[in-house]
Amino acid sequence: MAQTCQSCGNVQQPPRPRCIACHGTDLTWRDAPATGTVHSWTVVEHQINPHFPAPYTVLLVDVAVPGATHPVRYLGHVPGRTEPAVGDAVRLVFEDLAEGVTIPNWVLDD
Amino acid sequence: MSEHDYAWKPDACAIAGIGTTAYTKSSGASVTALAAEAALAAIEDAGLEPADIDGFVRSDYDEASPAALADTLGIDDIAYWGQTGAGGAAPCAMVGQAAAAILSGQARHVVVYRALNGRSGRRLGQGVPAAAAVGGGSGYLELFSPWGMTSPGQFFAMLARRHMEEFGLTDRTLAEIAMVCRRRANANPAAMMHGRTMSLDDYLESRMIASPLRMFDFCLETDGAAAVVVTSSPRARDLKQRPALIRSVAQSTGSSRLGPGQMYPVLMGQSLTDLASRRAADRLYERAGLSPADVDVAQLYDCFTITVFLQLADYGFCSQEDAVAFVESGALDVGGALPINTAGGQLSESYIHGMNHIVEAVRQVRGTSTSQVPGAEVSLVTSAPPPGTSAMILVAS
Ligand SMILES: [Zn+2]
Repeated sequence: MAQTCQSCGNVQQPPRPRCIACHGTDLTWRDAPATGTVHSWTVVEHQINPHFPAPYTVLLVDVAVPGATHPVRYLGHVPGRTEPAVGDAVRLVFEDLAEGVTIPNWVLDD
Repeated sequence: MSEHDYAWKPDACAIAGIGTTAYTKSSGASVTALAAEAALAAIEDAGLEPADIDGFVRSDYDEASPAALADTLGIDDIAYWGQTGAGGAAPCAMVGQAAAAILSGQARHVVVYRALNGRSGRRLGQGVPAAAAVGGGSGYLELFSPWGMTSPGQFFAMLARRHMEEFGLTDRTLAEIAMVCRRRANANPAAMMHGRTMSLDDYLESRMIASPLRMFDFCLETDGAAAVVVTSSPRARDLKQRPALIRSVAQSTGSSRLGPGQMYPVLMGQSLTDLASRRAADRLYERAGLSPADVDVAQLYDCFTITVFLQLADYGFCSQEDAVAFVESGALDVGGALPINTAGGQLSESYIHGMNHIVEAVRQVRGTSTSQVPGAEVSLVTSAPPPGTSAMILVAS
């Protein structure tokens, strides 16, 4: 999903209270494609947060959303160490974290 | 009003005094006690008495309030206080705010300070607390925390990877930055890493924290404080030390495409290699009437080695394409084209959130650094990028 302005068509990420192009408030959600590419990534080896046991990989993902002036960026979480290359293909999955809590996640296409 | 009325006023104010505490892992003192110790040292260095101080400026992250500090110093009444941020983006802007207070007649002698128990108290590198609520704040944590993006080191790792991809950055380049800072600390008895050398093998063998960043790419954690006294330049000339004239100060948030609010939304911006520091630099040099070639020595904000690397092109010392070659030529070393972080920086002296860099920038134009650049007259100092940042040029009087 990507926040989109109904007045001028601007797509913006992160979502804001107003359209940053026309200052309008008529904002809605547009479906984003379920595929993208790796923009950057890191393998976290040093655990900080007990909810995220190290090692794990965080992917920063570019998704081409129709109407957007540049790729819309999302995050992905992959347990363990992976060594992707910038530009590698990723796909969208939905993961249930807890009862009633589902997050979109991006994983490497294999 | 004419455009002239909005013009920056170079050299109108000066830093007249500097002071620090010892830099330790466990101060055993309150943050206010540390702030008072550094402030008293700066006031004494300037040849002033606490009663002369009528203003304070601090970082928004500071736990020592101006009122508590004034009270601890026995100052009866303060006429001006202010703060800016966020965190390490603040120190140069804090000096700018002090200058604004002085030039607008709101204060005469302003103490600018940063104090923290950064090791024994609140450890900033821990990032977002595990129990933090997400959603609704300007930091947009809800877009980052659920995927495990929770600390500054992980954020800067993402920037480093892009510099590797776009400009050929390698771990050898980052190692050179870490080792340069360590050598300056080895010459500085006050530095936390004074007695510990670092070889390339030491760097490469330090454990990976968030790839491609290793432990020695990370700054220290420090208990301590640093402070300076800002006053008008005519007043500073009547005081004890050779004044460090404030040639220019600049702040920038960068373009709105960099994302609003706190640090993490920068990852949503169009480019991870086009940050606020570039615009701050343009503004800074224009106000100063100087160019990068005029800079004799620089204290570049170094929460991580990558932070230094990305500022080299932004502050005009090389192109982004040439930045790796610039570093590997030895440019950052004493005797090089751009000696940096001459007290050891936050990588190897102390992590006082960039305030220690201001103290060292003053020492360079006074000629009193432990790694003095001979004849240094133009001294650049920067505060943390991104998302907002600030920077300052001091000149010798
Ligand atoms: Zn709009």
